[in-house]
Amino acid sequence: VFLEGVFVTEDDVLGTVDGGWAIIRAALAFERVGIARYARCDRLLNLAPVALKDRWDELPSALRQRWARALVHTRQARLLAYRVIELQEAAAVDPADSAAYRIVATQVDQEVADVLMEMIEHAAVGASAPTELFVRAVDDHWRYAQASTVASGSIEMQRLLLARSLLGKQ
Amino acid sequence: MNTALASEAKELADACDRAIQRLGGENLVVRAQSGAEVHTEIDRMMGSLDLWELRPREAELDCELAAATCRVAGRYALPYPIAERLSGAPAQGIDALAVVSKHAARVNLCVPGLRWYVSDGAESVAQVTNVSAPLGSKLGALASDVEHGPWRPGNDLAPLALVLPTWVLLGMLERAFALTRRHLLDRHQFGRSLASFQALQFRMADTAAQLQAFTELAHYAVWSVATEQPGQLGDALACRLAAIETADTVFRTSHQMHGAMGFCDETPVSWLSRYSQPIRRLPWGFSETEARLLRSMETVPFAGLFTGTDNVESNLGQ
Repeated sequence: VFLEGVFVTEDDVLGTVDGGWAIIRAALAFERVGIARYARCDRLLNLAPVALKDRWDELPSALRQRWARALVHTRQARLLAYRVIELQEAAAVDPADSAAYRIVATQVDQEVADVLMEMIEHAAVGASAPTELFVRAVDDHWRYAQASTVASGSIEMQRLLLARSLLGKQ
Repeated sequence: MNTALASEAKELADACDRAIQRLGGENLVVRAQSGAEVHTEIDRMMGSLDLWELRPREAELDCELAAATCRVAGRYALPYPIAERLSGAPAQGIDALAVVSKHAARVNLCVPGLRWYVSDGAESVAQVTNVSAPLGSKLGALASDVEHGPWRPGNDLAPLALVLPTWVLLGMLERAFALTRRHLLDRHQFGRSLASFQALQFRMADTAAQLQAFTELAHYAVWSVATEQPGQLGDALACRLAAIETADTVFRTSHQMHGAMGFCDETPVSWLSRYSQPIRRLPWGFSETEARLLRSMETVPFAGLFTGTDNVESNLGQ
């Protein structure tokens, strides 16, 4: 929705006129860090060997190594989230910190989804039986993760924010 | 879990940085490559900072101080086995410890005058009995092949010896990234600064995000090893995996942004990139590190929010 030519009284102006970017920056740093995408990744990755039982050992070792790497990346996303929260509590957070977290976390979401979808093999295109809880959870996670780099601030916007902090306004 | 380094670590790192600069900074590796025995002066300088009094295996704070010192050494590609020395166990007669491949023991910066040991990256260590002359190759100029005695149990010595070299690498990556950032701001092409091209901005953003993620993991690994967590070996391997992965990204970005200039020894990036190679290749590269990490995770669960999850129904059911 775009509104143009709207009269605003002085009482309704936040900060100074033409000083909106600073306010947006401050607000963005506090936005959306709370969605712990990495938590679901962590849970599903940990459940995989349990849910797949004997099939686990028969999976290609390359796929199990990808699972190991995904666990490392998930831990990295979690630690970045902790860092942002610590900075927020110290009121020292910069939008670049949240942006870096989001760039990592949203891509971890997709990486984990892809690893798990390969692990459930043929069930990746047939996750409908209500009793197959793990398969359904992976399917749900994969579909949700498709939008992780799009929703609530696309990854391109996060890159712009982080680059501006690194290199200044060009 | 507080993974931030103690304030003493910053003080020591600053003092160490000044001392390295007084000795010549990045000129030290240039001299070492041409055959100068710079290790004695570096040894003396580090001794004057009381670095050899640190006991990273005994005190948590010392472990953090050791990590911070390795990070500073990395900034200058310091031609001294700082990580290996601080991984030693003087109480067991081990002055310096390096993890090696059991197939071919090759040690980076294997300077004389120390009681060197090697670790297999798991449960065994062996005393070094002979050190060959440095390879003098392009990518391993100061690395040496070593011979060693029989393997004996060396429980829990490996994790620290895996983590500290990643902190040297961290210092190299931070410096390479800072130099690249400066280059983008200074260098103009087609009438604009390189920093104004969005393709390059995005690449820098992705690289910075990955570097930050590795930095956090490196802190975590120090905490895990210093507090002897049950999964410390897996945590150390995870740190090494992320270190290699991040080094690939940072140096690829640094070289691409520097253009032809980055391959010339007039730029520090060229030296950092070349001297990062032994740390990234020894004792093992990415795939072997990943295979070992997987084995480790299948033995001791990788600590996370849901470690020990053993029932799908109770976890996913309503």
